[in-house]
This record gives sequence, C-alpha cells and structure tokens, in this order.
Amino acid sequence: MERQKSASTNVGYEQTVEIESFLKIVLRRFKKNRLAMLGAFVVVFLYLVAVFAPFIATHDPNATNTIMRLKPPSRDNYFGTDRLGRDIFSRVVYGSRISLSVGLVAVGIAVTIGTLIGSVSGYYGGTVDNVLMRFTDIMMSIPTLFLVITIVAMFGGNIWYTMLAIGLTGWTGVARLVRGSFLSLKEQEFAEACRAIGASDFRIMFRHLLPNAMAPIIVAATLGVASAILTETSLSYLGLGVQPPTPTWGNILREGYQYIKYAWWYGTFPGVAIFITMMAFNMLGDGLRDALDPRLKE
Amino acid sequence: MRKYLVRRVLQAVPILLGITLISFFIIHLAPGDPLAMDIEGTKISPEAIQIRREQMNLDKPIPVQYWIWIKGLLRGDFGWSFQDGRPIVEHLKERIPITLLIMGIPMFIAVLVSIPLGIVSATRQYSLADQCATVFAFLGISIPNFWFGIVLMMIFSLWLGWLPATGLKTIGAPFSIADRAKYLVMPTIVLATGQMASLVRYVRSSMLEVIRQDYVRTARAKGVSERLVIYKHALKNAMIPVVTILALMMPGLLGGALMTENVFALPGMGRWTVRAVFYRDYPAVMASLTVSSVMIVAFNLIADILYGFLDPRIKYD
Repeated sequence: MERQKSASTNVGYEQTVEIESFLKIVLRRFKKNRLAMLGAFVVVFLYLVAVFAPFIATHDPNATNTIMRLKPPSRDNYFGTDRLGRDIFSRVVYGSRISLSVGLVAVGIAVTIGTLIGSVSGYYGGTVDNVLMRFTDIMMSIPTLFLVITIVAMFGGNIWYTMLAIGLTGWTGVARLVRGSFLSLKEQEFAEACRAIGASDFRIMFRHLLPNAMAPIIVAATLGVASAILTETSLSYLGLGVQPPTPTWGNILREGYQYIKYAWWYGTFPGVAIFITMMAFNMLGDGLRDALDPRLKE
Repeated sequence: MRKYLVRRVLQAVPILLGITLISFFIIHLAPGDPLAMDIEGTKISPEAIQIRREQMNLDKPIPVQYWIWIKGLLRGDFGWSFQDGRPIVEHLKERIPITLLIMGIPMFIAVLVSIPLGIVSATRQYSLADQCATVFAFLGISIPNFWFGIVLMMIFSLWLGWLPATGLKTIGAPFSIADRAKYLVMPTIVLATGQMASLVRYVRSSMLEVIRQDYVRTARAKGVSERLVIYKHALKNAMIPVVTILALMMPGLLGGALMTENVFALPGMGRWTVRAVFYRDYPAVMASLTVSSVMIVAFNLIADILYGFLDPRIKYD
C-alpha cells in the first residue's frame, strides 16, 4: 500500500529520481570503502600541494648553496639538500607540478582519442571498425615505454612533448572498452528510439550512448593517471623528459642515484612521493570500479 | 589446430608491418640529425659529412629508406649501428637472451606465487590473509620499479654488502650459476613484485567469479571434496582469463625490464635502447622497437594457443 502511494506521487519525476539514486548509491558505496576514501583524500591533497607549491616550499627550489651541499634531513631542510645545496623538500614540492599535470593532461589526451576511436568503431562497425581495430592492435603491440622514450628522445624533452607522447600511446585500452560498450548499447531499444525520431549519428553516439559507457572510462582514466605518472617519472629518471634545472621527481631521483653512496635521502624522498601518488590513484581507481560496478550487490 | 596456427601467424604479418611503418616514420620525421652530435665542434669537411650521410642512406627520401630497411629485414639484416658500426644483429644476439632472462625468471616466480595466493584470497574472502594480499597487491602495483631497485641496492649492496650492486657477472670470474644468481637477485625481486601484485588481483577476482557458478555448486552437492572442487573444477576455468592478463602484462613487463636494466646496469635490450635513443642510432632504435613488438605479438599468440588447452569450448578451425 505504502509503495503504491509513493510510486504514484512520483509519476513524471521517475527519470530524475532514478539518476539521482544511482549517483547516491555509487557515492554511498564509495564512502564505505575506506581505502578508496583515503586514496581520494591523498589525491586532493597532492593537487593542493602542487597548486600552492610556492606557499608550501620552505626554500627557493633552485637556490644553490655550496656550503650546504649533501646535508642530511634536518629541521631546516626536511628532506636534506642535494649536490648543489638546494633544498630537496622544496624541489619535491615543486616537482609534484610536473608529474601531476603530465598525468592529468596525458590521460585527457588518451581518453579523448580512445573514446573517439572506440565509439566510431563500435557504432559504425564493418570496415571502419576493422580498420580502426587493426590500428589499435598495432599500437597495443608496441611496448609503451619503448615507444614513449623514442618519441621524447627524437622530438625533444619538454613537458609538452612528454604529455603528448604519453597521451598518444595510452589510448588503446579506452578505445577497446568504449567499442565493447557501444557494440551492445547501439542494439538497445533507446538507441533505436533515437534513430526512429531522426537523431543524427553524432547525437546518438555522444549524447545518448556515451553517458551509458562512462563508468568503465572513468575507472580506466583514474588508473591511467597512475601509469602516466609512472611513465613520466621513468622518462625523467632516464634523463629524457623534462630537463633540469626544473625539478621533477624523476630527475631528482636520477641525481640521487649518482650520490647513492653518500646521501640516502637524495633519491629516497622523491621516490616516496611517486610511490604515494601511484598508491593514491590506484586506490581511488579501484574504489571507483567497485562503486560503479552494477553487478555488485549492496 | 595447425590451420588455426597458420592463420594466426599470417594475421600477425600485417600487424608487424604496421608496427615497423609507425616506428620508422616517427623516428625519421623527427627534427634533428644523427650526425649532428658527431659533427658538433669538430672540423669535418662538408664533403665528408655528405659521404657519410650517403653511406647511412640518410640522403634518400624517407619511403625509399623504409623500403631499403624492409628489404634488409627480410634477409634478417637490421643494418649497422650508427654508434659503433657493428651489425645490429650481433648486438641483438648478445642482448635479447639477457632481457628474456630478466623478464622470464620474475614471470615464472610471479605465476608460481600468485596463483596459490590468489586462490587463498578468493576462497577466504575478507579473511586476514585476503586483506594482507590486497594490501600487498596495492603496494606492489604502486611501487615505482626503478626506485624500488635503488632502495634494494642501498640496503643490500651498500649497507649490508651482501649483493653486488650492478652488472651481470663478476669480471674475470669463470661462469657459474651461483655467480649469476647473485647479480640477478635484486632485478628479479623488483620485477617479480610488480608482476605478482597485479596477478594476485586477477587470480582472486577470476576465482571469485568462478566459485559462484552453478557447476561448482553441483560439484559440491555431489560430494566432491572442497580441495578437488577448488583445484580441479574451479581453478581450470579461473585460469582462462588469467592467461589473457599475462599476455596483456607483457608490454608493462618489457618497460619494467628496461628500467631495471638501467638501474642495475644490466647489458640487455633496455639499456641498449636507451643509449640508442640518446645517440639517435636510427637502425638500433628501429631494431629495438621491432624486436620488442615481436615479443609481444608472439606472446599473444602463445596465450591464444594456451586458451585452446584450457577451454575446450574454443574450437580451432
């Protein structure tokens, strides 16, 4: 009796109620997952550090001081000093800007390309699908890091080429995901209804089908940030990527490796920063996957 | 089965051709010149540079250069390294086995450890063991391999002095497995940790999905012991997606090997590739991209064949 009543009062609002409740369910599931919440907090914290780096850094990250070379962590230099007497804490704080922005932009590029290729491939099928998927197969078969170091070494190591190289090589997974979703979504009734009222292909694809394929894309993007950051720091570590004196976690670690016998703190702290960042994005992505999975029961 | 194999190998040909095309054009369309580094600040005459350029085929249009390269490849010839003039094939012969060793041992260990661990994790979901495995997996996936290598090196080589920090063998010492093992312990730990961590997660979720299925319940209902249910009925089916994941993990493992070789100064493909890109050694970079891609394509092929053994529902014809 109660049920019927509430249902009848909701007539006409059914659509909005449904959408809100799905988001609410996702949010509630997510909040229950302690690891995921921790990951989310750390990610927010890291971006705040990157944005407010000038206020958090205790020293000018590029100010050299020959008397203070290779000093261990102290009250003045939390993470010690490097080979030129620069404050490692301040360099790590500023270094977060490179890694975190490369992670975000590279994944933005990758998700855009992947979504475009995947949706066109899945929606149109046939020859278009065949050609695009063979191209995806090719890109998937070249080991990412090998290709990225080649592109960055050949075109030059600055932040833009680094973002582009990582973005242009990282879209294959998303393309396959989106294609898979579109293959089944386009057969469903609501898609047919769209076609029946004469909606354009573009509108059906991006207005109606894509929102229904968003969940796995969001998860892939979050986990993608972690791997993009790993690739960026690997590049910097190898001496490709963003060049010194601009501090990046990878290039501080590279210098630290050369002083491994004399200064344990040199390479340790930038490494911990990478570790924590990767951990946070992985926990966040994993939590989002669980929260967004419609097969999981409450 | 044979028909299927032949078809799959033939399908790999256009993919490999595409890989070489993309690699070749990325490398050759980039601004800059492999000779620029040699000439800078020296007094080499322009004529000599022109002759060198002709020897390296750099004066020809890019499609022609590609054609020359492909023709060489069909004869098993990757050209000469710009760095030292040695045939690339000789470099590859020395370096591929080392990289395969660096990748192979951790892969083997990871499979050996993560399958039982994943099974325990799945069959005792939310137990202490499961939670430990989850935490370990997060740590292992997130730890940057090159930093992990450096930390291990600091602890075991510099502080404790137990293991040699870099290289593959003691110089001058006769070959012995014990000697090699000492040098491979740390690189193996680094790569195996990452592999294990992701595998455990996949084994766990794959197992969780399988043990909820009807045929597992049927097996239990007819009185099969729990051990047999898990290890005979469930495991076989849970392994099917894991084989795919292993193949999908190959590009990451190759990247991990590249970083590990650089940290521990191991003379494999990865270290060679990094030097090659720094020197714009075009033939070496091309060879590296081609060979590493062939490894991935080959591994995918092996995974597909393994599928047939694990899943009788798949028929090859």
